[in-house]
Amino acid sequence: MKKLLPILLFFLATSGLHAADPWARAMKPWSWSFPRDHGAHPEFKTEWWYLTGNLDDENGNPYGYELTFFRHGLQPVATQPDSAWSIRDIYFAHLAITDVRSRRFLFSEKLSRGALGEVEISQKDMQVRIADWNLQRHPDSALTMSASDPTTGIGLDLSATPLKPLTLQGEKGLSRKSATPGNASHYYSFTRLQTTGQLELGGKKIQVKGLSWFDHEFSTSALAEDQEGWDWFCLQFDSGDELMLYRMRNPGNRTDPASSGTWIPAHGPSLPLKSSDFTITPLDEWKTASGATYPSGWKISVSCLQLSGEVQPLLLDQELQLKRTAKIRYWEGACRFTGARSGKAISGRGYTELTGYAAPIGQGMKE
Amino acid sequence: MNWFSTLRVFLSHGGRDFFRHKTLSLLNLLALAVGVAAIVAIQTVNETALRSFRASLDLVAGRPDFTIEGQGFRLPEKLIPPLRNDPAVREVTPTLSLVASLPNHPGEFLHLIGVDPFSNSELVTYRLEDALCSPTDAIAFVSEPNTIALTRSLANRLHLQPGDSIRAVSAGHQANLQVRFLLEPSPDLLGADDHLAIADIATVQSAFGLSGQVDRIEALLRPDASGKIAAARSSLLERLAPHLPAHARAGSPERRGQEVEKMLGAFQLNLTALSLIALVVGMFLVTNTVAANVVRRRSEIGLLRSLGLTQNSVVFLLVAESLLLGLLGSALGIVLGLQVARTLLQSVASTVTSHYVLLSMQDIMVNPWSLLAAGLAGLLAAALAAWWPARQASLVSPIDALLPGNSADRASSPQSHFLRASLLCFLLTLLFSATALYARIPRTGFLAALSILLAAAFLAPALARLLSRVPSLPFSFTILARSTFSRGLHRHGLAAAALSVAVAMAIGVTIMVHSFRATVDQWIGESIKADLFIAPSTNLIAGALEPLDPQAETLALSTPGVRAVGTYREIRLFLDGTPAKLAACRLEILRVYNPLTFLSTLPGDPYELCQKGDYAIISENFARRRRLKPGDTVFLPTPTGTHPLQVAAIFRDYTSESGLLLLDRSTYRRLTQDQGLTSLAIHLEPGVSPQTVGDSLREQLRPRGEFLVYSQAGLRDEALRIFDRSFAVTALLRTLAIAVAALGVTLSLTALGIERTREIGILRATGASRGQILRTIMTESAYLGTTGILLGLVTGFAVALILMQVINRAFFGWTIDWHTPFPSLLGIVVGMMIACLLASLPPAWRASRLFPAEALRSE
Repeated sequence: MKKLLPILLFFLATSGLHAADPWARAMKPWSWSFPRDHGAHPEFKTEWWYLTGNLDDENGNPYGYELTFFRHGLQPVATQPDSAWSIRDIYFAHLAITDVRSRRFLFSEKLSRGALGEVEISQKDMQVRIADWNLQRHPDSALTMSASDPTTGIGLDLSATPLKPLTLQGEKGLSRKSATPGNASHYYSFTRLQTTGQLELGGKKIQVKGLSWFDHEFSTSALAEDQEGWDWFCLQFDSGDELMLYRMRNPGNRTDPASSGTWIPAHGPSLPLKSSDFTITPLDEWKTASGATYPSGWKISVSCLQLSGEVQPLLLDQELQLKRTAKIRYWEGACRFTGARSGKAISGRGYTELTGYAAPIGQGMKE
Repeated sequence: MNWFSTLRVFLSHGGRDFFRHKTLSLLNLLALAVGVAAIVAIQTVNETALRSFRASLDLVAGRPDFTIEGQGFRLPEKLIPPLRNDPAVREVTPTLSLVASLPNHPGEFLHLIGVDPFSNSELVTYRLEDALCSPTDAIAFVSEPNTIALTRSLANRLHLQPGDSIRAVSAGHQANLQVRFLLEPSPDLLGADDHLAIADIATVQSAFGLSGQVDRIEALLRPDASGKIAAARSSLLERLAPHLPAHARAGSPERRGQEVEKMLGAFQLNLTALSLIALVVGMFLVTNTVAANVVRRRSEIGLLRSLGLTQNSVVFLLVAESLLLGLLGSALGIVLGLQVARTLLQSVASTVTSHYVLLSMQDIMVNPWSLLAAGLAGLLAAALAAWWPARQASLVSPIDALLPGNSADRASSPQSHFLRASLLCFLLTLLFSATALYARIPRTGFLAALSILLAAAFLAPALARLLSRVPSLPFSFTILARSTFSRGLHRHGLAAAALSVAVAMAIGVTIMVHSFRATVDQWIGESIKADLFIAPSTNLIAGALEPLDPQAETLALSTPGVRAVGTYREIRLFLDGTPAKLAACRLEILRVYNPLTFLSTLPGDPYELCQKGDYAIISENFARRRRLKPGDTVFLPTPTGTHPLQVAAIFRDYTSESGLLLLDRSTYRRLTQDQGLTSLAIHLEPGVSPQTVGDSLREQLRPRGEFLVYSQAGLRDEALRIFDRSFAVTALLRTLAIAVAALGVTLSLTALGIERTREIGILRATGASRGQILRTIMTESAYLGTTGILLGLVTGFAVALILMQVINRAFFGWTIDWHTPFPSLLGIVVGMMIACLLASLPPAWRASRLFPAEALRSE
């Protein structure tokens, strides 16, 4: 049984109910309505609320964090209505903290079938809780989150206030992942959140402040059958601008033309970027103990913005190796950016996500 | 002379002696082997029972730090969320189990366990993932209704393949379960019941109408600052206690295993005590042989002494020799014992299942430490048995020992010592009986039994002496036999003691089992009045207490010819830490159709008291073990709280080893909220044939599942079958004791024959015929047999009395009416006598074949 859930999570979507597709698909832009769309969309199979951020303690030591909540629908209607344990969705959450100075990367996870109130996810606003890990949006639009794991000794308790209005990614929030219609997600972000609170590391509480990035994405089949994974970047520049880029990887490490990005200037409307607008070139490699190879360090240039520079991880090893979801391995790490825009030096910090290198996580996103 | 050279002497002399007297040595070896075998068999069966039970428990529940269990009744699942939120708790997982019958596979059942694979991954020990080969499987397991995993061995037996469906019935709920996965045999499944089937908890709840209910809740805890779980556990227990229902029992999971051990304790102790007695008998025999050995080798010992061997070395030599024999005997005993354990396994499994908990054992599980312990017990017995005669031998001066014509040991111990020891043992018997009965130390009951056996053993030489003084028949061989018997008392005393112990044990156990069976039979005749009985088949096959289909009562009531339907509900639980049965009946039916035999009651009608208030009727053994009388209060923990019940009456009952607490159905349902029934008792109109109504009921019930419909006679037979099976092991031990005793007689006479070679030579030389020698030795054996059997017979009655009035009362509290099984006793007496005579044949034959010249060569 120990491997049941990994298998389950790993292959999740491949086994869906093909007969008559009961799940909604991201075919056209969503008609957004907030705060309702901060909540769950159970008609879609997969949904996540994703927070990453770069924080500093009082002495200026840098930290990174990731807190993500996932919902994954197994079947549109639970088949054992008489039992509180009957399953419609499964829920999981990942927490990771990067302590750059001590070169430590620690992570933890939650997994639940949501029975007997173990999971609460609102469909009205952002109210997400799996066991005692939670994320909430408050009337003043601040997000608060808390999660901790006494076993690994990590935890966080943060408040994040958006400094900018939300950004709809792609075409009015429809973010295409491949040429096939429906292989897309509905996706919006808060690209700059002023964050304060505490991190917990080895039982020690650390006061921190900094910036976070928030994504909320829901879809039914985001990846095409042959896609291997993706490289995703979010960068928050000191200039007040942000950049999001993702490269969907087709076989042979070819970039899928559906890859895209968004430029969010300090002021003014955001600018969608097509795959032809940018290049991402790996500079180095990092090998895991288990033998997987991740790219490490990239040269990024966005021609239409006259922006180019290097993204370097703050720590080489920021790979989550999840025990309960053992086959899910991905690299999600704090990075810094140095480069130039229109001839002027520009720097920033951000997060990079690399999937499908150690294990083809992308499988879970296909149908 | 140093120890090394002593060892050389030992090896050359002992070894030579062993081979010179092969028969004697082999018999000796065999006697010890049988004793060790009895211990090994019983220990192995006991341990296999416990380990199988624990394996099944572990397999399902894993090894949590903390468990909550509902006793008698299930738990509400709403206990889980607060536990999850407790800071001390790392993980919480429920299980929900039931026994379902399989109507398409009569006689088979499923022990279906509902689990939550999301929360139990750290706890379970079985590996389902081997069965879940594809992602579709994994999702199907948790989301598709009625999906189950079966053990491969059960699937093979039922000819089921993955993809097949199987109809299962429990408590009136029917489900078509889909066999999607097979659990492969793995080390985890070793010893566990192959009737186990695993399903998602949602499946079990939905399919069998158990929503909201769980059986057990297991938790993993976070160690406290010092890294210990115990503190976290006790603080959690403190926080949790106010929120737990009265019938919930929470704490360390060890407790469950300990309770089962406790529950099986009396049963296993019984067997262990009997097996130890077999070893004691074996020990007597070894003493006997070593003593004979010593006498025979008197001159040899004298020679060794005169050559400088010290007294201690003589003791060492003889004890070591006996140890060598003990080593071989123990090894043989272990092999034999394991074989016996295998043959006993199924009968023990059935006994435990019908009396205590569902237990299924596939093969014996051998604990090397137990084998080692049994082996050591054998060696210790051999050493102890040899020590006394060896010491006697070492005390003889070399000069005496070397004097010719002195080969028999004339310096036997003073009789008065033995008589005093016998008296002391008898007094100890009384003392231990008293402590068992009145000081509430039940185990001392076995010491009482052992003491009375020892008292008999110490009395044996005196009785033998007495017998040898009775004038014999006026035949030459009887006169001769009497005189040789009287001169061989030093040897015969011991053999007679061994014989009497074995006979006493055989007779005691026989009387007890017979009396018990007769009492139960009589009670069944008096107390089972209904014409037909209906119960779910699983309750008989698997010893489960699954509720009956509630429709069965309605069906029975509407069947023509049925006059009244009595209902019975039974729950096993722990009251104040000791097991008990809680039962509920429709007392208004019982009082009219099947009145109970009350031993004492409160003033007024106990039936009426129970029907209108919180009163209970308790069984005699329940009352005895808990020292209750009418008017006393029993506290009953139920899902609705702990309820005080006043004892309205005490009645005689033999259905439960642990004691019965009987309520009226209305009271029971009010207090427990349990609407289930375990069985129905159907009373027919006069003149209606039970056969006809039984057939009609069977026909009507068939589509609803698998039921057993018994006639009155059928139920009686079934009850007695269970009774007989419960005593199967006892019967086997009795046979072993008799076998050991017969061996003892042979041993004793063989030893004497060797000792008397010279004497027989003289007899032959002075004209005694071979026939005369043969008859003499056989008569001597008859003297020996008479002594042992006579003493054993009398002691046997005392042993029976102790078994029934001390051990039974202390452990079980039943009333057993004395019934003497004259034919069986006669059988044992005659059988033992014949065994003695037969046992004397080989040594007698051997003696009669001696050539006078050869026998007298030493003169």
